[in-house]
Amino acid sequence: MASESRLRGRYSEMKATNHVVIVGGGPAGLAAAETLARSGVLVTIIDENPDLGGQYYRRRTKGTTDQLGDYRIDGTHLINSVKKLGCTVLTDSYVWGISNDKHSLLVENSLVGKSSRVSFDYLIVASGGHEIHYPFSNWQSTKVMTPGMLSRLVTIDAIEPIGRRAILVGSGPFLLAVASHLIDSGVAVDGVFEVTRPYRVTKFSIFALFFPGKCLLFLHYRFKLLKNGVKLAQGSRLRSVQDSGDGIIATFDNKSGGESVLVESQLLGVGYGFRPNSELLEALNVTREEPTIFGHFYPKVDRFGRTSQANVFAVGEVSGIEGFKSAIFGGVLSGERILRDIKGSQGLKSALITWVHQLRSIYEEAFAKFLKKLYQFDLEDFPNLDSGVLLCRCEGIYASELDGVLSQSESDMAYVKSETRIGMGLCQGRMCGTALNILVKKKCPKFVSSGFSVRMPFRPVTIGSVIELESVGTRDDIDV
Amino acid sequence: MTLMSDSDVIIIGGGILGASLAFELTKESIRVQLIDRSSVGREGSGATAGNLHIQAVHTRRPGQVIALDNVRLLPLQIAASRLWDDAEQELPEDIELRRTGGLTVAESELQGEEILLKRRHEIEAGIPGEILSSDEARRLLPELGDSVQLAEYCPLDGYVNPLKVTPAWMRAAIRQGLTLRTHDEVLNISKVSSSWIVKTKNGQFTCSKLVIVAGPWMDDILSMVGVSIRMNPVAIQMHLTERLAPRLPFLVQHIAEGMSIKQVSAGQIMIGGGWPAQYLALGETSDISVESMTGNLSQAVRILPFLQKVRLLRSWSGALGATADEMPIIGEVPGAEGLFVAGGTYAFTFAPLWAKTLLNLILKRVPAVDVSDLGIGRLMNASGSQRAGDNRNG
Repeated sequence: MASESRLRGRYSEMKATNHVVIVGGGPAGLAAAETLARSGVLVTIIDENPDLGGQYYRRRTKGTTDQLGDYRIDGTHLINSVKKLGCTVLTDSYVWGISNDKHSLLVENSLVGKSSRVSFDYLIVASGGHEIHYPFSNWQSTKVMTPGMLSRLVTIDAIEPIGRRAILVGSGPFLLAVASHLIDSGVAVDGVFEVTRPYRVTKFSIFALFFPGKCLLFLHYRFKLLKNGVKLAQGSRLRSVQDSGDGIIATFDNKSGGESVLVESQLLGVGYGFRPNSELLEALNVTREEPTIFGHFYPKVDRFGRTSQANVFAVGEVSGIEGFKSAIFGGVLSGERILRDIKGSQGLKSALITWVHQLRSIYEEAFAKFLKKLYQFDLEDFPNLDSGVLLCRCEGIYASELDGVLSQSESDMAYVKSETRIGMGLCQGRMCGTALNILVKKKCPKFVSSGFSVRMPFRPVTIGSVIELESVGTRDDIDV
Repeated sequence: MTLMSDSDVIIIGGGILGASLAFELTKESIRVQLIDRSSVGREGSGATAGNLHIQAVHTRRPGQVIALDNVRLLPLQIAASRLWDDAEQELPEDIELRRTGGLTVAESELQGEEILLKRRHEIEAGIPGEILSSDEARRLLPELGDSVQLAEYCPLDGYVNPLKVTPAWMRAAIRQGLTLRTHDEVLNISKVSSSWIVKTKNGQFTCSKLVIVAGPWMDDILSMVGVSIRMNPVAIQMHLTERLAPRLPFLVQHIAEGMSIKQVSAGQIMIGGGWPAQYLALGETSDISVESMTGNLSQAVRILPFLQKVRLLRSWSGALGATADEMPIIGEVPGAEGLFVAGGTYAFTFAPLWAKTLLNLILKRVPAVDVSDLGIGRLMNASGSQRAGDNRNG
């Protein structure tokens, strides 16, 4: 009893100090944590990885660091600062649900396989995103991966040699960055195949005019590609990959017609930009933006990342604004906004920080919007699937099983799911949902698709871990 | 564009009851239209666990105030059980009917006595079954936890895949001539001489017999003909695990607590028992209750400890069209000739029986089972029956 009352005392003390929980330890989450903890606010960061950093500031293993030095040292500084400021760091932990009152997160520590409740007064969702997948014939080949994975292998993990040659396919400026990383680490790039048509002089004069700094970075990538004789194709749709010896042959077609193009290489990185890890925001019923062409969920947020739900913020990739700089500005702004809330007023220094970050974030956001327009998808960028294409890996469902299901006038996502089991497996449609959304839209254009609805647990969690939560009390509110 | 169309029967509601009835009616060459506000089997019929309850149902859902009359249901359950075999034979698609047999377990002496009492009623109704000591039960199912003291085995219990059976019945009915109108909403209903006129978003349709099988929306639709009843719908939740190798060959239930556990044909374990979601949001998603989730899963782990290490894949909720007395509803609406309803408790198990029964009632034949006490009259306000057939809008 004594320990319980002590814990209760600690809990109420925490209430008084306003506990901020940040989901995601990438640039956005770290920046928010640093801003808040510096002012003495009690902060808990939850991240599913073994260490903080997210995708952008992912840590090298100790062995690699000893051998090659630190990677993205600004990330190391930020992580160390957050730890030094006394933030509670829950790594190897993922949020799989939300309590009935929507004020506690249900979090599993994957190392011990136990769940607990983490209650919050303010919540900052900085859960990032992951690369968008659209299937093609034999995409499950071991020589196919995401551009992000390719990039990680040659930069952070610095595994050599991953292969002598690679091609990059999909969409977005990220493909150019990854091509550059590959070239730097001695991997020959056999081509960058962009499905949209962004690289036109008219579009780029706007680019250069409004975003000269960003344009320089682009030109740097472009010249590196030219210097290394890398072909940059536009309007190319990937149809299939064949394994051939220790390499692959990728087949492309052009959406405006013409002959198929075959490209030989060793590895293929394919991705169509990023989608938000939005499950928690969906479960919190925050108001969403209009669904994208993929049906992805983006929250409606203001400049500070405030969502429609009181005290719930979304910053960084998950809020739809790409780029690590935007993420950091967003993190700082959400932190400053919460500080103003807690303290009731804002000091001069804090107001100045807010003002400067707002300006910078307006610029970054304008650039992100420009990029979205530049690389705008239309449904024709995504071909109908040949019958032998694997659509849902978890349940082993091929595109042929959509025949007769998709031809019906009422085939919405829920209907296709119950008829075919697509999206019913371990990943709960995270992989295939994007493609299915496109295919349903192509067949029934009037249909407004908003993806699969989110269900608890957001990711599989053992039943033993779930029932740990039954011992309701003060103890499990937070494990500080 | 306004559609005008005549048919003999209009069915409102595209769940399992609508689909099974459409199948029976069209088999008799009756012209049928079925109207649903969304899509086939989208609500309770898609969310249900799909259990076939043939042994007496004794348990209350958590939060259920009144116990149902389980003795009354026994003759209906055995009749429904036989009809499910027919349905499997008749439908060309695999509906994944599995007669796994069911175990109802007791964890105390008192619960054991309840099982023995229940068994006596079943013997009278001709339902096969067997009482098992704890050792016998564990020989049958070694996975059972230590707390199980007594169990009853009924070979007829099982399940059907709800995602297969409703579309299968509907497709078969369409082949027999059913006109299916999905994504159309009924706006009002009126009666002119002996014809029912159903006005929807997309048109106006007339028929001589109208059937309302709209689950929790039954009271809404009935209010359009001036019949006032009160449904007591609740949102209940289900839990599903990852796929496992065959490990649980029976439907396992608890005599005193809401609990049903089974391994479905895809290999996943489905855990339910009528635990309530946070609230009922008709037509939308009712948020899962974490307390119900932990309660339901704790109990499941107590009875089947191997579940402890199994991963939970998803949970969902669905509306259950319950009534205040927790009993089924079936029959012609008093004071509204040619208007029929079916629903209430155990609509899934009873689906093929209610389809045959409604067919007989519509054709003015005597149904094979007596349902005279299950009519809607018991739920109607005294004034409601007087106004039946009058339409406020027309």
